[in-house]
Amino acid sequence: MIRSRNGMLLGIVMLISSILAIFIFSYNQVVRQQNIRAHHERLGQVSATLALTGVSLLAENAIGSDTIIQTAAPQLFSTISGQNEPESFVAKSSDDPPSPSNICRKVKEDFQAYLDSIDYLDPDYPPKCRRMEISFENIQQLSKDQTFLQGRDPVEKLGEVVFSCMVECGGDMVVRGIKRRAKIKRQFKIVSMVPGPFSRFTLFVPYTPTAYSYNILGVKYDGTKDANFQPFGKAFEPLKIFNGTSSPSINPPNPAFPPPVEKDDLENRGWVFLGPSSDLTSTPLTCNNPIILKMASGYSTFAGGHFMIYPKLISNPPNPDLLVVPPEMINDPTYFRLPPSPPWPPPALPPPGGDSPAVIGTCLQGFFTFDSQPSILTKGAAGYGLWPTLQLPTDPGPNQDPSRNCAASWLFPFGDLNQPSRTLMVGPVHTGLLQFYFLKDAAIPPTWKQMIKGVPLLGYDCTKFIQAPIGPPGPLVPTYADIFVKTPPGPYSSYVPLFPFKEAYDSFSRVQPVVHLPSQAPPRNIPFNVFFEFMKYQSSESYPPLTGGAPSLQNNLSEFYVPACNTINNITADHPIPGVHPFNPFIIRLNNDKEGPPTPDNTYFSGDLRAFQVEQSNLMGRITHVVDLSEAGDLDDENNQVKNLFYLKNGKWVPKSSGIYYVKRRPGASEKIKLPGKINLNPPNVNRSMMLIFDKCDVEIPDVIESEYVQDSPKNLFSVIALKGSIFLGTSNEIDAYLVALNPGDGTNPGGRLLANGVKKMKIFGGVAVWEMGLGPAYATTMDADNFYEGGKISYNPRFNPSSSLYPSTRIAILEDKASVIEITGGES
Amino acid sequence: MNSRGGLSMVEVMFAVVIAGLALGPLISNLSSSNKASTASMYEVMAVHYANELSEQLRRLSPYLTDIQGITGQTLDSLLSDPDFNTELSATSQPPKGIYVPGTNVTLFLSPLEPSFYERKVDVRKIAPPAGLSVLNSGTYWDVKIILSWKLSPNEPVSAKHSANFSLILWEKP
Repeated sequence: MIRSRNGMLLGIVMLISSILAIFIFSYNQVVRQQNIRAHHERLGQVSATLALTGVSLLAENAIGSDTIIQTAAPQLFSTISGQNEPESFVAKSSDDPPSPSNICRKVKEDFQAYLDSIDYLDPDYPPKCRRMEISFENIQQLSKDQTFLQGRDPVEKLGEVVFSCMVECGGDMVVRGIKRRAKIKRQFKIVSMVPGPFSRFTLFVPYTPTAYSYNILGVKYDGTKDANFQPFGKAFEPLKIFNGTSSPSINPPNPAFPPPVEKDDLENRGWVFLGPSSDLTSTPLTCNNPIILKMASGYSTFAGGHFMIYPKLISNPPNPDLLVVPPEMINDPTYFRLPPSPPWPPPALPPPGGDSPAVIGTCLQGFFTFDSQPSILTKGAAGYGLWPTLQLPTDPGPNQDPSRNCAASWLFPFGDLNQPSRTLMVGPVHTGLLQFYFLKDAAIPPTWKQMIKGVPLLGYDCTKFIQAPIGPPGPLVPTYADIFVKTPPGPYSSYVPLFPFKEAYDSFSRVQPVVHLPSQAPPRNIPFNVFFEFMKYQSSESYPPLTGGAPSLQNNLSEFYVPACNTINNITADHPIPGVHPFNPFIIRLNNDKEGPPTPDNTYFSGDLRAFQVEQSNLMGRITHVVDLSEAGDLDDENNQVKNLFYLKNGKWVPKSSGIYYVKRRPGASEKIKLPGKINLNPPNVNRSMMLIFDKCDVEIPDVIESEYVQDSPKNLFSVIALKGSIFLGTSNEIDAYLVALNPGDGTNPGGRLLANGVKKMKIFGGVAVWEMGLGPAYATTMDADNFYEGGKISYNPRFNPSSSLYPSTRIAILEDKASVIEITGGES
Repeated sequence: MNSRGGLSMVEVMFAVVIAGLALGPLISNLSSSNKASTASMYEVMAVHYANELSEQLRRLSPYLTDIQGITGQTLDSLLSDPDFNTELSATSQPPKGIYVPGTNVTLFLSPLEPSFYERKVDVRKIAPPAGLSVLNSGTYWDVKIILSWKLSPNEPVSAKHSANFSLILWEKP
């Protein structure tokens, strides 16, 4: 018993020691675990931070680059969501085999190179980037609307892009490497930088104040500028429209345009829409009247030249500087007979079959306000007396009837002599030309019968005739003009039984509509599309086909992509004038399936061009950035905030990011907001496309907007849209942009115009869509024409054409500036 | 009887020796565990301090070009400002935060626990590695965040308990 008590102390000591040891070792174990956990946390933190860095770099490069998303998932730019595209998918992973398109692998390798330079974390186990990935989730179509009334690209979409990066830090016998995966989720939109259906047109003007709103240009007979013709004290110069980038040159002449080229040429060109003119006498105002663009006379490039009237210039002109077109002819001996030789009246009826067959020739003549002939000095076309209702240009100002003066159109929708640029003219647009006639005795081909008193018959040459000095007995009157009417007025009416006028008139009337006769109501003019003769690009050998009322619209029109070609080719009750292109409905297709039935996937727009408006409601879905200026204190503050959308590089403002920006002006704002200055869309290694939409008031473009040219046109698209105001240009230098001001505004704050801010001419490479253009009623000023009275140049950038093969390249991916979700998770193996 | 019933001096001494032999290492172990425990606690705290700072520095990345434009200084010279680093290491800070020198950019950081004597950023420009194919524009900055602490108030600074964290910032071209 005693012995057992003796060992008890030692036992207790041992027991306590053991218990303590257990506790202490347990504690030690806990501490060790804590240490490992702390170390894990530190490594995890470093891994997470570096993973976030890596994923940010991937995302930032995706935002900064215009192509990285396209490289990662090119199908997003061509497929239609919900049809042949899953809602979510992994697009690219660095684990995929190396390839030029594997952007994740490239970024991972680059990022690893940077990580290798970090040597202070753990030299033995430097951080490793294990994986980078780009995936897409929740992809949907941007617009499901299928009425096509506002322009819709079915490929446009929105969704979420998920960038992820996995980094591993540490890794030894005790602490295994800690992986962290960082994910950045950003909303994205794939939108086209084409602003809307109007950008199918080089010039889109849905409203025209009067039929003659565009006719204000003073031109001399030879096509040079008539500086003395100065409405409002201004000598106008033309505004030339170039509808493409590769116009065929006919100087020197190029008589044969191969059909395949012609077809593509028309399809890829910008078209021109001039909406009907208003009937100013009706209340409410109606707009159903045609528009007359009077062609300018002459041969110089100032007036455009005569290149458009016929496809081939006359050979061996009397003067190389005075190139003219060949006369249009009807050789119809059945109905056209020369009148008997003098003395008149003839003593008796000519014997049956004894009268001579005749050829009637016509010569088309542009309008001119000045002729250098001494006897008609300062008189324009009216001075010849051939067109009695024309007025002399003594008063070119507002008091002169614009339908009767001799001024030509300020708007040249066809380029000029050096760069002819044909187009499809949409709307009730007619061309005004003067026409005079001459007769030729078919039996003696070289001999021309006189047309105008005092001109010798022999050696008659229409190219010389009108240039020749006209002496006494003047004034000039048409000799045979009266034979072209059914019931000849005046002294010849008694000779009606002598000639078969009726048939002759009917035959002649087939070409008659080309003539601008101001006295006729309504004016009988040639539709611009017929005048252009562009639809067939016929060579002179087959010109003109005389059967039918609209020679140039016959036969194989449907081979070319002309929307509503059957309508404009045929006379119907709704469409009485062939060649006038309807604007309601109008269809703009998206792809090459031009002739098939319209479907949601191949149609961009279908509807009334005149009724189209750019509204907030039809833009919001596409808008990628909203710039809210409602808190701005004043205009300067607003201008500065707009300036903040750009950064300054080499003295030019570069957009910080591409996108469709909706700028919401401050409440009560009424002043013009201003773009920052010279804008450059692509300095080295940068490509930006931008659409700036201002919700109200006017917008000023103070300086150039420039983009690099690729294929002869600006590569990057820039658009300025004034939703309720006008656009002011403060420079005559080149603006590489599409300018849109389609809302007429209200009475106190009119909009919808392109106006000048201290300049006289414009130079735009893109296009223009404005509510109205030209001159207002009674030559009201403050319209585009008198603002830009020195005209200028609008060239079409075919990238704005939704129907062109370049259109898919206008779709870009815009990512949300800030990530909507940032996640750090454990990295799976 | 009583003397026979007690413990002999030898037994007691033996027990004391045994207990000493057993408890000595244990207590020593306990002490080092305590130190290790404290160290791990501070390391976890350092992680949180670094996380707080790196998160805010990371958010500066899109604005580095603007900051350089405003201050005229590169990021490394800007963040090596002694006053800035002194403020970073403060154990009590005003609620208005710490301004990045020359800017209105404010960093909101927790005051350091008194055992921490250093919170510092060391920035260096990373020379572009060879063979880059995508990340080859702009400037890349290696931002090293250093947190240092003492395990006890009397511990010399030379003992250097610290943790390094890394962040890479991209300055757009």
